[in-house]
Amino acid sequence: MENSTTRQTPAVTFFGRSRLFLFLSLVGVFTLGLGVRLIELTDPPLDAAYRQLNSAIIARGMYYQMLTSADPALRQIAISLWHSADAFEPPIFERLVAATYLLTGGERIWIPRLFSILFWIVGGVALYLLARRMTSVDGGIATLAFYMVLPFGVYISRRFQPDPFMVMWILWAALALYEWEEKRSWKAAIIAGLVCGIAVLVKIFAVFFIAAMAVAMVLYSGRLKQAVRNLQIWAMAVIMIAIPFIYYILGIGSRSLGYFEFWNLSFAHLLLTPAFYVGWLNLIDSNVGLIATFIGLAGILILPPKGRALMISLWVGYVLFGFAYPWQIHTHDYYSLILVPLVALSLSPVAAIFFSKLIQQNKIWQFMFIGVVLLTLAYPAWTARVTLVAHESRINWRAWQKIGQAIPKEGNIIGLTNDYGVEVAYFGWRKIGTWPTAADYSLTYARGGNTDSNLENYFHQMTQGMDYFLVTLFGELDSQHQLKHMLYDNYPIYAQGDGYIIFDLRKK
Amino acid sequence: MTSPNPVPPPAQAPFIGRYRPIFYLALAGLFLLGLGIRFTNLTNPPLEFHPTRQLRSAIIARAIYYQMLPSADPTTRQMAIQLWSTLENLEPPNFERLVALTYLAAGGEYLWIPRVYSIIFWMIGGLALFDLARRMISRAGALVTLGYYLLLPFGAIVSRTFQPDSLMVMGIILSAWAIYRWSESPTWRWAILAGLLSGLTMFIKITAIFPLAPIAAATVLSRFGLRSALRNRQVWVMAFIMGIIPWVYYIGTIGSSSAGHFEFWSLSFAGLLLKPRFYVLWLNLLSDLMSLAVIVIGLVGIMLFSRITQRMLVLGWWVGYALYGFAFPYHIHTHEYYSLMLVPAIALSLAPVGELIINKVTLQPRVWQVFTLAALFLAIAYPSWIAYTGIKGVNYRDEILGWIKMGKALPSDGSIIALTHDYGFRVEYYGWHPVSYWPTSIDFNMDAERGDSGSPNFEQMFKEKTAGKDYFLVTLFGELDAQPALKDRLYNNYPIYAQGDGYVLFDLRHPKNP
Repeated sequence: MENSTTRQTPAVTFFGRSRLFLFLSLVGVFTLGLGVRLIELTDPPLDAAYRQLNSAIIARGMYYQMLTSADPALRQIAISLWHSADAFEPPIFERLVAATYLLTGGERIWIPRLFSILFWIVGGVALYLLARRMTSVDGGIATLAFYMVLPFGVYISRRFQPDPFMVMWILWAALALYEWEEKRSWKAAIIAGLVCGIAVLVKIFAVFFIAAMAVAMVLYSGRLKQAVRNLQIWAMAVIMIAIPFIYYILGIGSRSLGYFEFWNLSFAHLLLTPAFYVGWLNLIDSNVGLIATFIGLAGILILPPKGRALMISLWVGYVLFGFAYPWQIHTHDYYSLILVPLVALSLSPVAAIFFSKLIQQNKIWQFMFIGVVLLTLAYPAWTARVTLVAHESRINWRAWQKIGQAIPKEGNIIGLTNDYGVEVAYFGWRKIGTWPTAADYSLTYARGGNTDSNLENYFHQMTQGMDYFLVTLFGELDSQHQLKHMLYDNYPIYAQGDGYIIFDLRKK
Repeated sequence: MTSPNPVPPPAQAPFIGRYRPIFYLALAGLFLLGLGIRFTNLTNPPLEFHPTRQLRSAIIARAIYYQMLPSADPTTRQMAIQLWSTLENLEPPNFERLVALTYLAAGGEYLWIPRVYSIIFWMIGGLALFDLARRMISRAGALVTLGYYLLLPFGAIVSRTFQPDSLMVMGIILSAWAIYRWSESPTWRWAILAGLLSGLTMFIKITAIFPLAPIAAATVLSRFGLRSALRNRQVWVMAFIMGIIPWVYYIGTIGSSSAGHFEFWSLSFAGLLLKPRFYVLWLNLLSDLMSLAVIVIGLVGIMLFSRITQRMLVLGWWVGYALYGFAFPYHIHTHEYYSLMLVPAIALSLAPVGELIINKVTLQPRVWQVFTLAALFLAIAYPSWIAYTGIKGVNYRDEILGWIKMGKALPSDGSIIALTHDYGFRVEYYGWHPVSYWPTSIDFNMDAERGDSGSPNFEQMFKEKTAGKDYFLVTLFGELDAQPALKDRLYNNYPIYAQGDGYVLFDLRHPKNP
């Protein structure tokens, strides 16, 4: 075991040559990370709209509930939509956003984006401190730079969903556990327990990483018997389990079980298909870069033992998470958001070695290296900027506002529409039933399920009690020929406009 | 002449000392894997990567073959040579002549033969690169170099195409190897060999001058300094041999054509260098082909070479590539194979990084080394799989039947202008018909990049381009839709002479409203 008080920082580092240089470098990286995320801040959240608008509906419901001057009818609908929205985790972030709406006097959809960015930046502080402890100031800066400018991280860390918030807590939890292992004090144990508990509370998926890290840090000393008898460890475990337990088991226990059963067990067979692993690797490659990932994997092996134990536990947590949610891990990019800090941290020992070699070189090579560093930071930051500017969603937002106004206020609606109807719910203030898309059929097949091949039966079953059929996905309608014929041949058009058509199911 | 400053061999990494059998297994495995991936789908027609370039070489090789084949039908021979004669001189047809000779020896025109040659060239380059990295760094570092060079999907795909680039890259690597050997031991033998290899490489493709000149200059200057270098007769002889071989062909033989080529492709696109978009697109392309993370690590790797000569040689290679990009700005950000010479440069730059990491890992307990092997296995398996599926997943065998069928349906009594694939090379190669080429939107965009203002006057262009032509062939229907004036003109003014699966031929001799 390494000396618990020994820091791995070498005597001389590239960035640590002077406090001012280090300070400026840190400020530069944080400013770049912040700056690139603030681009198009007020752009509406229509990327990954399902998750973002779901949160927006919850936050709006809370806001109207707290807003004394709100129109009672509107408040009623907002609250009802909130309660009917999918709640996967406690709405802490949404509550924070709603309170800020109240403070700022209105529902400004860029507020949650600002919070997400803030969470990511705060997470970056923990990440830097952790990387610095595990390697050196140089390793810390390199880790932070990767975390801040990787385009994938930039996009996801602006979204109104709890993932950036969860990542922030996981990073602070990692730091707290590392600190506790070093100090073994009651204070450190309680802080670690609290931070870990909150991380899992924010999003239950954090349990994979928190549990793995906690076990690694507890067993790091290699003395299982002592660990079992250690009261600090028990206290820490109780705190970190009790907090999420209250919500996920006592609060929404049956829903948690159902979610796990649906998304986990029914997709378990994917683990036996090579296509799943190739798909997962492809997703990692396009978001984080496989080369960086592989170098990171090599990097963890050259970390000091404690850092290595922590990093391996995080990687194991990620792999287990992927095995537990095989469908999402290879189709949903944000399920791999944790990879950003994970790979960043894993790269820190490699970067530390580079820098230790670099400081032995002449000034001219060091200057050349700074050029390379600037290019390395500028290119991904520029790519992220270009993408953010190019994917401006204001036109779509206005189109949805129009569709929202055109939606009938009475009667039940089913829709072949985007993102399981969250746009309709958000803009039209209506909860609607959704007709499955090709993606849903694929999902059903992937789970080993069957769909009714008799469309008439299925249509009858799905539209029972429905008054209108809304279509906003025309490509999907084209690919479902039978449905298209059934609607156009049998039902009158109630309303149509740019990007939508509503059939009247009451008048066959 | 003996070395004034003998260079000690690099210390071997503990990795090699401890794991010699694993090292040899890994070396053999990498070569076999590299070969295996490249030999996949060997007989697929050469349309998978820049067919313009590949079919151009195929047309030249076929013409040389028919020229040499005594039993060839005179009309066929005549047509094969005519199709060759319409092509611009870019470089001497060395590779094509070699292929034609092999056709003759093998008794037929088999398009997988140039693939095999390209693969062999790439593998020989790999051997030289491995030895260069081994000499500069260590065997462990050289394995990393070789792994990247052989398994990068982009390299795997390009190194099996019928174009001189694989041969040129082999030449660049062999030249760099000889220059380095000469810097280690500056004898006349190495000086002459370095000069010959470099000269021949530039003769194969003149663009090799961009990496080779900086590699040679940087090595000489870092090894001897300017004054000593100027006084060194070996340096002068090496430079003379290096220069004279390409000079004879590119200046002495096709001088005006070379100047025109440079003027058109380089000077007229110089305006791009002032546009930030150009650099972003260039980086985008590099990122897609070789991964930007690896490029950055490679750049950092340059600084980790222990000796200044090594560092300068590798830096010269990178600088040469950058200069090449500045000299041919349009191609460098649109044509992937223009960046092929960067693959060995990056691979070589990864050697010290790989060495550093492997040495660190070797110091860890056995269990972590096993983990490393597992990670390494994954790191090898994934790009190999991507390269393999990329090569295996395309099949052009049916497509060429369509081109052959169309070629038979085309009239032989008049001249044809065509809005068609790959500057008409598919029609010419598979259809045996020479055609003039009607520009596509890519050509118009290129003209715009060159600074040609405004869209061309259609009437004037149509008149000029179709003067003396009898037929107008269309195989690119998307392009025809994108040029509505041309579409209207053809469909409203000329009768359809023939049409079939994937083509329509208009009769320009009998306009509907003369």
